Amino acid sequence: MSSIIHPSLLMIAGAILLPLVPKFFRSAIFIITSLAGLIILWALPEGNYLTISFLGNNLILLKVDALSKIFAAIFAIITVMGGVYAYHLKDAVQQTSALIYSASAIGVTFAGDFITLFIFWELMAAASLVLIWSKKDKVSGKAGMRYLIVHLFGGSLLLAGIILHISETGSVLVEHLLSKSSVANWFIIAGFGLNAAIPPLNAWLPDAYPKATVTGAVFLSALTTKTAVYALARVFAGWEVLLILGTIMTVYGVIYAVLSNDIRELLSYHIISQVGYMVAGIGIGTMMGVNGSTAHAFSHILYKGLLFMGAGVLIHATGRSKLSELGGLAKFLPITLVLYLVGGFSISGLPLFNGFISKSMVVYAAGEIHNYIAVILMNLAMVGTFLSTTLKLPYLAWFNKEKPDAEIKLNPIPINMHIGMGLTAFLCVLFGVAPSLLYQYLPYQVNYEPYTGAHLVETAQILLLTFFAFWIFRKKLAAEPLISLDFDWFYRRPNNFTKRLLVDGVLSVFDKTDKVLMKGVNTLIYFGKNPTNTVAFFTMREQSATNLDYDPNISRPTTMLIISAILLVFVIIIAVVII
Amino acid sequence: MKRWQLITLIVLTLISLVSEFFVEHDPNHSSAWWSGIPFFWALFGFAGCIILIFFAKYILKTLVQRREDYYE
Repeated sequence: MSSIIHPSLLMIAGAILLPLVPKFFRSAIFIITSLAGLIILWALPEGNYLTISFLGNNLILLKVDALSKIFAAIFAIITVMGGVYAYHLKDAVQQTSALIYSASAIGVTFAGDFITLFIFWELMAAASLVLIWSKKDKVSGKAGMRYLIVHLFGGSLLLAGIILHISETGSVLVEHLLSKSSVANWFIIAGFGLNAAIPPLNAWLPDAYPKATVTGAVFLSALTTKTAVYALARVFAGWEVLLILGTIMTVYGVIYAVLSNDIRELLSYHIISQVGYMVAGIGIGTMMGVNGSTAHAFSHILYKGLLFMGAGVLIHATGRSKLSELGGLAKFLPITLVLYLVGGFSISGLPLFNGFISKSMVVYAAGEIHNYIAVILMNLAMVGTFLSTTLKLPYLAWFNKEKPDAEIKLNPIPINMHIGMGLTAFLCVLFGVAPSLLYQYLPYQVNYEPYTGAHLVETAQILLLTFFAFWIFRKKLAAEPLISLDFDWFYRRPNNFTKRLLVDGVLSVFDKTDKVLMKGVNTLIYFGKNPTNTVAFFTMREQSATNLDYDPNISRPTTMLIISAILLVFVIIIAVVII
Repeated sequence: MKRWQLITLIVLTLISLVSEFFVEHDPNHSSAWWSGIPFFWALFGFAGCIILIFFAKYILKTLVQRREDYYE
């Protein structure tokens, strides 16, 4: 099968080519490459391709089936959309790394064996890091370093799991794992779980994403967590622990989002919440559950990308990212508001938007197995999602004040940013209105109809009454300039203590030794410079012959003493010789 | 909020409440504890929103929110 091209390799080739062409063409190359990747992967027939032999194992670089194809397709779609949104960008480093990032996410989904998966997995971490560091300020630098360390830790968990798994079973294939008594499987699930931001391994996400570049955050929001969702769906479908953790995640994210002040941190916590639905659906493990998770990942990437684009426009325009410093932008950024709200309505699951047709599948799957606690908590998460992303954020950013603070100078918005948002918003509505466009490509056949009377009534009641509760208590939601501690406290807070113990302690020992030694050396120099000092040291404590201008009155007594001593020795020697 | 907006929302709410009696309920939830409570999801949305706001702003806030220079 030599005619098969791996879409990731094509995109990586494009990424390498990109910095070599003139600036003017780079953004176009970005879009063309990702579009070509999309077309190629969509045309791939199901099966295993590009198998190579490595250390006695057969590696499958390209394993195509319904599950991998739909995930890879949405990764490529959001890359195209992000490319349009970032068309104005003149930064080859960011463009190249975004393409490599997307290519490796696609590489993970098509990986048929754990070794290929791991290589793309790590490449993804490295490329995504560049999108954080490209912001080029101190805060991003530090957050990027934490992101790197956490992901290296996650990668190590995964690698340890893979090695144990291979030594236990002798198989490198990415396949459904069942054994809950195997340590290897728990290592692998932890490695995947870290990238899916499952608490307590979640804190890297709201820590790093708000500090990425405006355009980089769009790719970040789409790729890392959803590749992990894909990997979990492929390998751990039906593991009940995922249902429990996923359900907790849905509510965990929304509660933190109520407190968030930074707009992209708020949206980041909603990634955790939304990924919770997907993780829970995988934990349910039925056809409906896995279909629901897949569909929700597809929808989520579109509307979350759109929301991050909207937040990015706010930051680009005002230079600010905190709700406590925004407000009153309705007259100045009306198009952004409308497009952002499409994303907001989608994530909240309003009918006719794509969240409605996918999130409900997961909730339905939980209902099918009569897990009513999960149903209640997921619906509570929907209340919180509507509250924070669609009511609180737009209210505090666009309304709340008559006009923005006087010191805000609005930068012009490049038209391509709004075009990127518009295209993504169009897809959100398209799949919401015509869900079968998506349902037909899900891994299992779908027997689900989102637009039933009961579902519409239930959704309408929840969302309308959420709105009234919000309106009554909206003053309570005022943003405050505070940060929220998450599980990152456990590695950031001891930072000072560890630094004191390992760095400051060692440094102070060096410092003391240094001082003592230098004092000794200085004393020696003092005596060595002028031998008369040695005598002066004992005779005239306050004055040093070296440090003064030459004064014969000071040197005379010591010089006399020395010459007398020499003469005395001379006399003694002569006396001895004569006698 | 303008008057017409408020009226529209109230009308929509009334429609959603009344139509509850005319739609076929989700068979998966027929044995759920809430299946007999009228307007359950409306009450849920209202109460859930208030609980989230107050839990976050009064309980969680004191536990996890700190000054912005906390880690420095």
